[in-house]
Amino acid sequence: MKNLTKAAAVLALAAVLTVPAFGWNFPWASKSANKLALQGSTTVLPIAQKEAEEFMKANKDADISVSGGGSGVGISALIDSSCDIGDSSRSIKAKEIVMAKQKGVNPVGTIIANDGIAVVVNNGNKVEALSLDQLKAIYSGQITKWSQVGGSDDTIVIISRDSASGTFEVFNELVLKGAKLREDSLMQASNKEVAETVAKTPGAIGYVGLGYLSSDLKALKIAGVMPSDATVLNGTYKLSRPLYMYTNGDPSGLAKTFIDFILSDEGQKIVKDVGFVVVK
Amino acid sequence: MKKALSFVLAAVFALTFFAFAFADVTTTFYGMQWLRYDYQVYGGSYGPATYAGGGDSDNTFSIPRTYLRWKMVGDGFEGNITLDINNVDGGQNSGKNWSKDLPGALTTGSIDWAIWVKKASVDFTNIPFLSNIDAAIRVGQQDVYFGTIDTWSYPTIEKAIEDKNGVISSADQGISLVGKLGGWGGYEAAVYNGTGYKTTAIDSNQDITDKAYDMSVLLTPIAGIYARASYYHRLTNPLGTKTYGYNTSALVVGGASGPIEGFVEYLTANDASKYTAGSVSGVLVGWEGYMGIKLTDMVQLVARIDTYDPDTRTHNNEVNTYIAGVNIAMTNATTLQLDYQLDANKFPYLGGAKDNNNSNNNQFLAQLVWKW
Repeated sequence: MKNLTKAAAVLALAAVLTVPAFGWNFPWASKSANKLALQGSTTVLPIAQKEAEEFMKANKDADISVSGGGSGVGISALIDSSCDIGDSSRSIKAKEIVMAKQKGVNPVGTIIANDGIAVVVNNGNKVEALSLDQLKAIYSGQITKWSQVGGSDDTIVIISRDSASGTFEVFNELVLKGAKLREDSLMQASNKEVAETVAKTPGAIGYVGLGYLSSDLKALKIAGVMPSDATVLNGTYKLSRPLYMYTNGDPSGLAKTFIDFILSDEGQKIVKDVGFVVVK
Repeated sequence: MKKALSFVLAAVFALTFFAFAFADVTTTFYGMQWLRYDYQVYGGSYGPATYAGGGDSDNTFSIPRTYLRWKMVGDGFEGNITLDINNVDGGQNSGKNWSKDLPGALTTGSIDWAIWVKKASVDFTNIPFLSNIDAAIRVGQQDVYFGTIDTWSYPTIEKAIEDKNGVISSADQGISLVGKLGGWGGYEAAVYNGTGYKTTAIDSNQDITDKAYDMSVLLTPIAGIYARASYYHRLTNPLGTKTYGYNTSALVVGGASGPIEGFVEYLTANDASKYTAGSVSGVLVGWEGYMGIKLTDMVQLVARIDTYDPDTRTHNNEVNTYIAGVNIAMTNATTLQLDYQLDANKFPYLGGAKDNNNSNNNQFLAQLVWKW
């Protein structure tokens, strides 16, 4: 029995080592070439939804499903092969790469858009610029008067996105860094509502996607840099980050066709239309 | 029960501490529970009349495990508390292992709920220099980083080979350095009490100077192939007149591609305290081979073979385990596991009987795992 089990163990080892060499893909486990499943970041979600909608109009046979859940969920789904594209508003972590490789998945990220957040105040506000530390202190309640940052004696009114939004997620990660939001902050459900509230409230401060800047609002320099498509693209504006679509290996088949569409002029116009910054 | 209570109080205290000391904390509560049906048929040269249970078969419903987990993430730290609620015959004092205990050697006791704090640790993730190399210091009760015991995700209902045979405890109290080698692998290096998570250092007269240590390195050279090497050392009988070294090491080589995954593990340990000239080597050797094939998104077939020799110099004492099963993902949160498991055990010289005694335990196991 001892020899038998050792032989079985050796055979199992040989089988394990042989499997990746052939890249087996059983017919019963393969998926339809016309279907594509995207899952992940809620920040990427509106881009993915609009892009899928437009792509399917032009490609009648394509069946693309898009769902959210968060960047971690998207990457986990890619690792578990339960989706074809994992949407993420952050780059993949080393531990996720290791986990993916152990499951035979080689995660490759493609930047499909950039996310920039502009900090805005009422047009009547004298303040022109804030540092990241000042911004954190304002949103966490340590600074409560505009006079503490060179402005009038007005009390600062905090306007924020609700905590479930992708924009809040970026702001929390890049500005608050774990600090608790001031308790009397006014939480708004959309970028549009933040912009409208700031425009009509003299002491207000808020943050919106770059696509929501208008003459009704005053955008502040953050860490000395004015928010714009150019400063997001050249990396000098700090409140920005790239948005990714992760695939197993380089994109191929329908996933490649879809990602190529997003990166095309038509696809990048959609990126801009939904309030994000184009890749190039 | 007193010990269980003290562990629970410790957990509550720790949670309270986290809640007040780190106000800006995101806390996630989640858990997992196993609902099991186990039908066993006993065979071999130990007749049913003499075997556990006094009959030729047993069948049981049980809730062998409930894990309650709290994860707390804040600026520069990540906390983790896991309560392990174990429903076993004999409760906390039970040494019973259904698959390998010998006739007459079972620890008896009433059905009991044992509650352990399996993990209670904090990762400090913002330490200068370490954070730049994707490493953290972990303090508290944590995994023992070894072989497959800390990574075992229960593709079969049976435990990892180290856990099944009591080669090493799955958790212990100590301090460790955990990190990643970019996308090329990872490592853990730890110092522990060496007593495991079900025994405190005070209870076992373990002195802090007799601590155990281990180190594991995982390499993922290409997608689909990985290898992990582990080494663990502790002292046995630390406060006795003579101390002995207990050294164990493991090598795991695994792979995955598309619907197929698998690994092979080689395990060995040398317990110097058991060495007896001429008859007992004190060296154990184990092998495990596992393979899973996903037929659909819902259904996975699994197979596993373990061969475990508790002492290389003692004849006819091997424990061989053969498992075939299917895992059915019923929903995102529930998985039904159906396993057939044969434990073919040999017993030397038991009760004056001749060599080559054996028992063949056939187990038919159904387990529903649900997570929240």
